[in-house]
Amino acid sequence: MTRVEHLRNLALLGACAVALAILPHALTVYLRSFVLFTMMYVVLALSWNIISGFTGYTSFGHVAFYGIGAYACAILVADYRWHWLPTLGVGAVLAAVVGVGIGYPVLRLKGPYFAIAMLGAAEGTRVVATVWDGLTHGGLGISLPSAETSLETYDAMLVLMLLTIVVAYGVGHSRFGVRLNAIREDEVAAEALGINATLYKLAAFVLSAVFPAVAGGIQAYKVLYIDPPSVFFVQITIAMALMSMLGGKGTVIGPIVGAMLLYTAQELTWVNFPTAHLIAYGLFIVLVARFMPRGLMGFAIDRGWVRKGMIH
Amino acid sequence: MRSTRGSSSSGSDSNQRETSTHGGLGMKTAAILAFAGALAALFVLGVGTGWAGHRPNNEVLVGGAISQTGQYAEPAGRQVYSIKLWVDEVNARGGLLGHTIVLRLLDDKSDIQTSIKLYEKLITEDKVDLLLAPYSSGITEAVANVNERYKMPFLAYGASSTPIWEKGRRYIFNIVAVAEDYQKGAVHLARQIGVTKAAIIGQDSLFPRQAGKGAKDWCKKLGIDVVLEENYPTKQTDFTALLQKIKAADAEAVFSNSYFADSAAQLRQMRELNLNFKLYSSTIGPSLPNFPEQLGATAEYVLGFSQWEPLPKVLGHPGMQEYIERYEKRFGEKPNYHAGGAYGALQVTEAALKKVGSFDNEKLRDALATMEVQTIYGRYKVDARGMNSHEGLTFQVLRGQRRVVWPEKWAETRAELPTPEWSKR
Repeated sequence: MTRVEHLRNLALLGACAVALAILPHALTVYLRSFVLFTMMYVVLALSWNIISGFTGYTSFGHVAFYGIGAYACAILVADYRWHWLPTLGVGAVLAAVVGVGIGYPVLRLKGPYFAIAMLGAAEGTRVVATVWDGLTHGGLGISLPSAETSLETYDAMLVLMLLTIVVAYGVGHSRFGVRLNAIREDEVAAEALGINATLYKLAAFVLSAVFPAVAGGIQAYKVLYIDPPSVFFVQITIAMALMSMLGGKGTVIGPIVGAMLLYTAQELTWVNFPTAHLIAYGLFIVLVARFMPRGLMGFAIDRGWVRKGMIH
Repeated sequence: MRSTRGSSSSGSDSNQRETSTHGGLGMKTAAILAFAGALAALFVLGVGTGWAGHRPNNEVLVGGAISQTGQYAEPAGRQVYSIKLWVDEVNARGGLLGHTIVLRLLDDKSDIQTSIKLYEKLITEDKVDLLLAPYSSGITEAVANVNERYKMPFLAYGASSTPIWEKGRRYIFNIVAVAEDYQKGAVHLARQIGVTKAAIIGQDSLFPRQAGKGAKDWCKKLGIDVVLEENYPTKQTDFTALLQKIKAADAEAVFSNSYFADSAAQLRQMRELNLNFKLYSSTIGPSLPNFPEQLGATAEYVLGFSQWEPLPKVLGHPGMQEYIERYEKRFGEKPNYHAGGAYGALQVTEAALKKVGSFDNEKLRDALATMEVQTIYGRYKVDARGMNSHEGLTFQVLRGQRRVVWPEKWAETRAELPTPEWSKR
């Protein structure tokens, strides 16, 4: 793609940003929360996609970083009286450090072994949050001081989402991204070509850990009460994976579209069919898996709606 | 699905443009259109399901979000039964202050985030006239921030953790006995049989830890030495090491703040290891309907706690008999204490509304804070924090039956303690 096209995409993103920045003032608090959580899932799916879509290492434990961010925010705000914004930075740094700690050994594993190891890592983090009573209040959870936060948290999530999109887009269109794709397609061949696979994988992993941590922090300040089962909830990881796969993993647009569609579909089914929403949701996933195994983007590419080979 | 189509067709349009301009714009446009489509769909939906401020046909909108799926679906489902029963009864006798109740009961999927969002929806979008409470201490703790912000009171029937009421909140009240009192009866009974050393164990989450704190305080008050105190992770099923530790610490009684799986595992392993204690008490497990059947002889002599039991002759609260009959007729089972608590809370709310004479939230709040009401669940009168002084009861599993043994005024029989050795059970 040429520079002009990048600039045009950036301009489009900017227009979106302006629209989304004005939007909340016209919305009820509920719809504001809905858009906020939709944006949160865009962030989560896009981040997951960096390690699992671009690099091909399917992570089943990304909720660990989300939980770390949530706890960093809750502890610093509730126990140390910090303003909530700087706590997001602390969460991001912490997630990066933990990301290196987990990633360095675990990224040596491949395929299902990596997926299982990540599942274990996330469970481990949850147990640490439960047992480390002095810091996290264990199973009691942490209640944050009550405040009307819907506009602040909305704006923060919007900024985070834009940042994540720009970074994911940047990765997808850079040599870095091409090298990640090379690792996904054939790691041995990529190394033979001189790519330092370990370093690249670790970088992708850390990058994909940072944004969920910030998202977790924002959601903690939005919800104002967290405990280990609710922020280390395995279903959040599953949602990240499902959303990316629905949209088309390994692309930049895919996870964005997937997150918006799946979250909206979920909301519509349970508002309209309160007792049957799980069935409707499950059916939706089955239909997608059956008819669009490569996600919406793969579906579109196969039918020539999107230029072949253009996966970003 | 409309957005799907939107994204696909726009993808095709821009694809044609792209071929002439070598552009990579299609997907971006698609994404924007999809987002716009999703939002538009939501607006339409919001308008479609939203209720006007003034309701037609003399109706009043009563709403809440309670777990109908997920981990809390079982206990919360009993409360849904009571809510439905109450709504139909009120409508049959002419409605709430003359208005027919329209019930809007949403499902929070046992998830805090969803619950927050749904209460925001009920308050700001559906504009309900009266709020109902959610289920579980964790969810109630989170929701309490939302209704507080909009100054809409509700009477909680699914939360018993004191910290919720210790943050100076004005719009949340409680009807059930607090977690700290779940072991009160068991500690008293332990004292009666001369226990001097006890162990307090429990699952590591909000409610069991509060119960453990209460047990410790009661032990202190009654002069029982707590020789061991330990919380175990939520899904632990192997307690052999912990049980050995309790024995080594020389404890005579075990106060276990546990649910079904953990208390069942503790008892079975105590039996396998032949560890004998004078008394074993669990907060939740023994009060669940199938506990005595599933554990058989192992459940014998175990003490448990209940907020309420469908025993009109024992408890003697007004209207109990009729409520139990109507409930059983409609749902084919006797109400348990979750159901009873929800129904009692609704009775209080109805009485408060009658006293106020309108759906004025501020006045309703004041009424809930000050009034005293007798319900099928017992007496309602809250303290300055908004907590009721509801008294629960302690029972013992005796020959497969739960028999109330404490407090003495409700005791059906004398507690058979100390527990005989395993070989004699």
